[in-house]
Amino acid sequence: MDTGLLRAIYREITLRQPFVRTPEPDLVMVDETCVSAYADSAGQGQALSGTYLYHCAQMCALIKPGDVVLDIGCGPASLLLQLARLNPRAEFIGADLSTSMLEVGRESIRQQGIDNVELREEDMTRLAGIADRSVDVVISSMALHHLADLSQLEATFRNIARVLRNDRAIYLNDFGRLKSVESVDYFVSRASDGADQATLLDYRNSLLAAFSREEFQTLAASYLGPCAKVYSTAVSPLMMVVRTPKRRCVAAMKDEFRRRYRSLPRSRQADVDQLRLFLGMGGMASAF
Amino acid sequence: MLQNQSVLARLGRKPRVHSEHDRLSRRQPWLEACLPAALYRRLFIRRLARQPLAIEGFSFRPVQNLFELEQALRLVNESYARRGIGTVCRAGMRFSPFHLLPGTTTFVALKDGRVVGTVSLIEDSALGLPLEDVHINEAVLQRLGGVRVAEVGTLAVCSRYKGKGVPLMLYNAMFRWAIDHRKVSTLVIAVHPRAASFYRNVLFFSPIGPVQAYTKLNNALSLPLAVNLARARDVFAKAYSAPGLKFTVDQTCTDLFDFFCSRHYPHIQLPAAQARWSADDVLTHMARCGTSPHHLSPRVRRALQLD
Repeated sequence: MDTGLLRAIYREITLRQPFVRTPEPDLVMVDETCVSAYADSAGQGQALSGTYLYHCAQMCALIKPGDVVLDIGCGPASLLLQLARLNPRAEFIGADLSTSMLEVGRESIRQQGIDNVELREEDMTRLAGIADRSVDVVISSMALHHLADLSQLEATFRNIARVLRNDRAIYLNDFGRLKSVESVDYFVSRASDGADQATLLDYRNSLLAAFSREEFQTLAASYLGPCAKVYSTAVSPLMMVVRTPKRRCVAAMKDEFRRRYRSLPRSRQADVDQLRLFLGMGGMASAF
Repeated sequence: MLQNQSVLARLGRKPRVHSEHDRLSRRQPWLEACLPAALYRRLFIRRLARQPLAIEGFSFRPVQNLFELEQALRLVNESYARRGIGTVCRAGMRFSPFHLLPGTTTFVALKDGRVVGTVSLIEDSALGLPLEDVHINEAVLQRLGGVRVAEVGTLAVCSRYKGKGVPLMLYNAMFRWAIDHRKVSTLVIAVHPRAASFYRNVLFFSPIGPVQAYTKLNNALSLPLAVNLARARDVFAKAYSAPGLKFTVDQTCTDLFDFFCSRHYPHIQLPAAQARWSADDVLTHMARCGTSPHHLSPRVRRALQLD
């Protein structure tokens, strides 16, 4: 075990307060290089593929046939397309504010010939195009930290509660705020193999802009009801998940997820292993 | 309906539909389930040999017009209601978008111009397979395997012609159609666990997932089964070549391999191309079912080309 990790753990345990949040420099990702770097990072064997596989498996346990699923901040819709192929009976709506991201997403929908995904330009703090109680499942992956401040996060949670039907299912995952900037730098350096500079910079900005676990907990408790629980990775909340209980048994899909896991490169497998281990210690069982 | 149920309850009879639990599950065929596959096959064929298939005057073929399709759907509705897994609807048939898709072939058994039995072969399409409502994981896994999947669905036989081998002949027509005309490589079916021993032991289907409650069919239990048609031929040839497994169809001695794979029966008429439903046909049928396009989801409308 490297000393950097021990030092990061020590800092995370001993420091009292998280550092002060720095909002993302570009709240909406429209910059061409940024968009293409992010869209590439979700591809087979790329930086985010392991993380996406883990969350995709978790989300499948919430989606029943015939559901309407809303992905908030879908970006280039990489995760959404994986989910859509695994849940052909559900209807997916991807909402994002960045038109260039949506364009990339629409292009890949056309290429893959998927017909149950619709991408819309929506502000996640308003969700103006989504009617009240019209959605069964709300998902979001690594998008909420793009919000400017806590009031916007509150507006987002309020709107999530508004659009959901009674039998609500939620799966929101995002980075959590660490306690020191040194730890942020350490985690960014751990992800550095195989990722390009733009992705690393985006990762660092994301970690600096993340909301804290307490903020998530307070808002989830006040808007999303008692079923939504906040899970975070043990020791430090590098990754946080707001999730409601499972609605479907995905035991039969385990083999498929394991096959996908084995086809990942070694470093991406390590991502999945770490998520499984640390979120598992934080109380959330892995789906495969 | 509620009123009707309370009347039945006062009479001391349990209502057949809308019951909490699946009524079919009461009679568990534990003896059948315990039999070894080879013995089950032998007993099945002995029963066939004792009571020959009465197919004189029948013809088995895909539906050719909307009238036949609707007769078939009425038979299905009636039969489901009798089995306690559906309700009789006002139109006498339930609208099912799957039966109007170009990849779906509905087979009928005709006797004196009347439809007395039906079964459908529903190929995978934009709407997926009907069993995906319940067995979603299994359907997705079959699809990810990259093979041409089709589902066998809506089997119904008129009660007067039960026990005369009509389903066996319908399956015969359907298997030939699936292999020769549609090049299907995997057949899936969702059956009640009570009926599973027939499919598993005689037709060599194998289970692909756990038993679940079919919500749309009054929570009847349902077990997903699949068979690989490319391999089935060899398996059939091997299993049914034994001398004791012969029976008589149409005054000729045959075994199940010969019956399904090689012998030609004049009763089975497979056309070169199946019937296609125009937008007019679809709209007419929907009107007769008491529904209209704006009741459908956009996806179903797209699949039926109604937009």
